[in-house]
Amino acid sequence: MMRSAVSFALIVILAASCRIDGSRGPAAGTVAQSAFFIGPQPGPDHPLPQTTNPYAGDRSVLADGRRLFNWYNCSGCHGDHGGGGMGPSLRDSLWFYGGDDASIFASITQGRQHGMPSWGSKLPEDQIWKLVTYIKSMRTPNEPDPPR
Amino acid sequence: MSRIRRAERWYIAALIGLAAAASGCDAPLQIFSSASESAARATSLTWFLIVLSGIIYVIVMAAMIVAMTRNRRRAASSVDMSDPGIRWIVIGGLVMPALVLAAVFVVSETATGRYPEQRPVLTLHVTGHQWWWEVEYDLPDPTQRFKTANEIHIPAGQPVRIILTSADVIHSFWVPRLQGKLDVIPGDTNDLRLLARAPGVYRGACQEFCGSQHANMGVVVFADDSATFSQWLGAQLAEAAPPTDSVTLMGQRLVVGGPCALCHTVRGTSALGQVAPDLTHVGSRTTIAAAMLPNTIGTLEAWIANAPALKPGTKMPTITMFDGQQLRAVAAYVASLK
Repeated sequence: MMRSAVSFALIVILAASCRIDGSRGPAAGTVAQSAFFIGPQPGPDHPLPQTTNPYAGDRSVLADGRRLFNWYNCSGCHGDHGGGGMGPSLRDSLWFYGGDDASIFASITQGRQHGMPSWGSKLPEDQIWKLVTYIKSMRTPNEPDPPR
Repeated sequence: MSRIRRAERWYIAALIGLAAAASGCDAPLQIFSSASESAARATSLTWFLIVLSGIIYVIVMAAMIVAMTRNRRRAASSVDMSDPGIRWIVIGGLVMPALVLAAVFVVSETATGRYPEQRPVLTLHVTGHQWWWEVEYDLPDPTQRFKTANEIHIPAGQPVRIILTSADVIHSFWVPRLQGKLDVIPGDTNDLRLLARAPGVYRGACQEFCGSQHANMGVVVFADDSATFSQWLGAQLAEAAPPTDSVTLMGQRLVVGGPCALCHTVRGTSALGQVAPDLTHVGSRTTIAAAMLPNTIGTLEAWIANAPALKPGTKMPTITMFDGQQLRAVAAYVASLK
């Protein structure tokens, strides 16, 4: 009885030491370099950009993504909460070029037909991933500053 | 412990205390050396309260020590209200505090209630952001308005009006040698009159907790004589200095065509971002990052490459897309914007 109680307590303590809040971003110094430079680049090969969202499931970056959405004027074309305007709505389920994280990242980074600029040479990669995370949070309970 | 050695310890302690107090007199953020009339009134109020509190403290402590050491044999289980000593309690506990508090009230109101009467010669709009100060010079001629950040120049000896507001959370504008703290509130404006008596450099800081970098949100106020001030104003109104060599030319192309233009403004180029400090004349400032770092080519390169490493939480991102040569060009161009 005593032994099982002690071992149960030890397991609880070990489990509590795992970080369950999920608040981790790219560690300093390990942000992958974007492959989208201006012109040919001398020097060693640069790694391709990640294709998995490092912020997937991380709710602490949503406020940052919302701020960047307004700062970089995404709301100017796509509407105040991504509802559409000059650019298509980002809140609906219709995605011309794919609605998963990697496809949205590619659309923002490379630009698309009919007016979507290419942001890969302008924005750091982790900021584009934050925007992707924010866009994917739309119409979910996690959306920061939801439209009323 | 002999009496003489005890007295010697008190003497040493008093000397240390005095030295500690005196060492604050030449620190940049200090309240005992004022450079304007409103700061002088605040300083005299401070001294008045310190001296008054000191006197009252000594009197009360002396009375307590006397009460503890004399009449120790008398039991204090009941107090006879007809005891003549009750008069001391009424005088010392009711009348004296009422008089002292009334005096403090009158002195405080006269020290802080007055407002400079002269018309201001200059109006500034200072907007607090997390974690920097946006300064807009609101000159009467609309073509002469410009924005700068974190470093304010005012003419010495003349009243200046500063309209304070905030873009996000509550901050507080405090330049201790010039004026007391005035909160900077989003959605509202506060009116401040500054009058620096003499030319000089006056440092300030944000005084309302505003987030992770509240401690690194400084401001520097330069009070200039009229010739220096007009010269500075003329230089600030001009557009950004054009690049002079191939390195600064590459730097300008990277600033305008790269990530910098999305947030920063460099007047005279097509970089017209509105959310970050205006860089048109950043090379002429003595500090960067809201007076956190000196403005040198090394700190510029470090800030541009990885601002969050120096000021964690800052809205300026880590710029990963420049290699060494490009970073050097960008920093050289930014440093040349005098």
